[in-house]
Amino acid sequence: MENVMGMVGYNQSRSNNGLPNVSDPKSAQADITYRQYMDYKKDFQQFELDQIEKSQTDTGLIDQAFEDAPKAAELSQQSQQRSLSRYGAELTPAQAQQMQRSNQRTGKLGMINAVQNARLAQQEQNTTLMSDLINIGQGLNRSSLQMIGSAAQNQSNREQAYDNAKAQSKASTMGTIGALGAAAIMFL
Amino acid sequence: MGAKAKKVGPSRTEQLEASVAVDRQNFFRQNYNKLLKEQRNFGDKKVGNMLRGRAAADVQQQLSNSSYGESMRSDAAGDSANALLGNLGVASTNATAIENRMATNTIGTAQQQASDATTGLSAAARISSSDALNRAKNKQMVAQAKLNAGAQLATAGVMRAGSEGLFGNKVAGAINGPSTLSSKPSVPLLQNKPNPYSIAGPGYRTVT
Repeated sequence: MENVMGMVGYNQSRSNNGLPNVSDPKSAQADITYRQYMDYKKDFQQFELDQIEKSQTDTGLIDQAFEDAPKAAELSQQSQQRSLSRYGAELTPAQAQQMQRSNQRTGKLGMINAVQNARLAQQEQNTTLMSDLINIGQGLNRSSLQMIGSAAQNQSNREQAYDNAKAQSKASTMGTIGALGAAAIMFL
Repeated sequence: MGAKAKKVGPSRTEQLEASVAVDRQNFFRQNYNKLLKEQRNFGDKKVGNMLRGRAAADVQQQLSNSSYGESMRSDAAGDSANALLGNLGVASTNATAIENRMATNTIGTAQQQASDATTGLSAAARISSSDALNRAKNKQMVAQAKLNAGAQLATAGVMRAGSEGLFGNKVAGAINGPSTLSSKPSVPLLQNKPNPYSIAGPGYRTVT
């Protein structure tokens, strides 16, 4: 297995039973967690950014409705023409004109209807996608705040321990010097 | 003098636990990461085409029972077109919903993993931090102990020398007390020490 940090963090040779030998569990944990995060960045981060963009700009359903409406009207008219010819029906000019007008009217109305429905559906889909992404983002925000809090707490603990140790050392040294001084004074 | 401290490595149990954990992690990465990437690419499958094709077929199946009367009806084509359009719209919307749901599921899972990973890193940082602290504390403790031991030795040496009169009678008197100046030293001499293992012990007389 490759090591993402570019160094040998732990022994990856295998023992007799097929399990990897781990001589340094701490280093193994660091390597694995780092690699997992890098996997996410490599494989999923751009996808996530694309989805965020899509939730704000996607017009796929509306575009599709614009494309579908004339095609559907044309298909239906062709189907009706085939039926007429199948039954040998002869339309009077008035009937033919009426049919053409009707087809044009329903075609236009159908398109308007389809596009309006598509707009509503698009808005709903985009909102749903955005809400889901925001929910994911909230989790991300929470975990990142916890992490930075943990890092700050670590630093604070380190600084405090250092200060305490320094003070303790100073006090102890002073005590020793005092004891030595007292002993010296006693002999003079 | 105390024994020199040795660096303690992980126990056999810890090593085995870590081995199992790394093996499971490798398995997860090889098998489940691939699945998640496939889920990410779900949009490439054009699920919309499949649903829309099915929707169009449904409409044709329902409305293709043509008759002479139907073919003569002036608004029949319009009705059929509207039905087809409506069904295609529903199919497209459902396809988009499915694709979006798959996308957010993928991101959610990947983020959760990433979140786990970063939490692991902070845990690792905590371990390292506490190790460094312990090392520093221990180093400081050893240094202090050395200093204290030196000071104690020096004090004891000075006291002993003083009591033996190395700094003159005045200092010896200050250490041993004024009444013990010549005959009774306050520091017991080692000779004539009672034997604690003797049956008779101090205060007993042996019967001969």
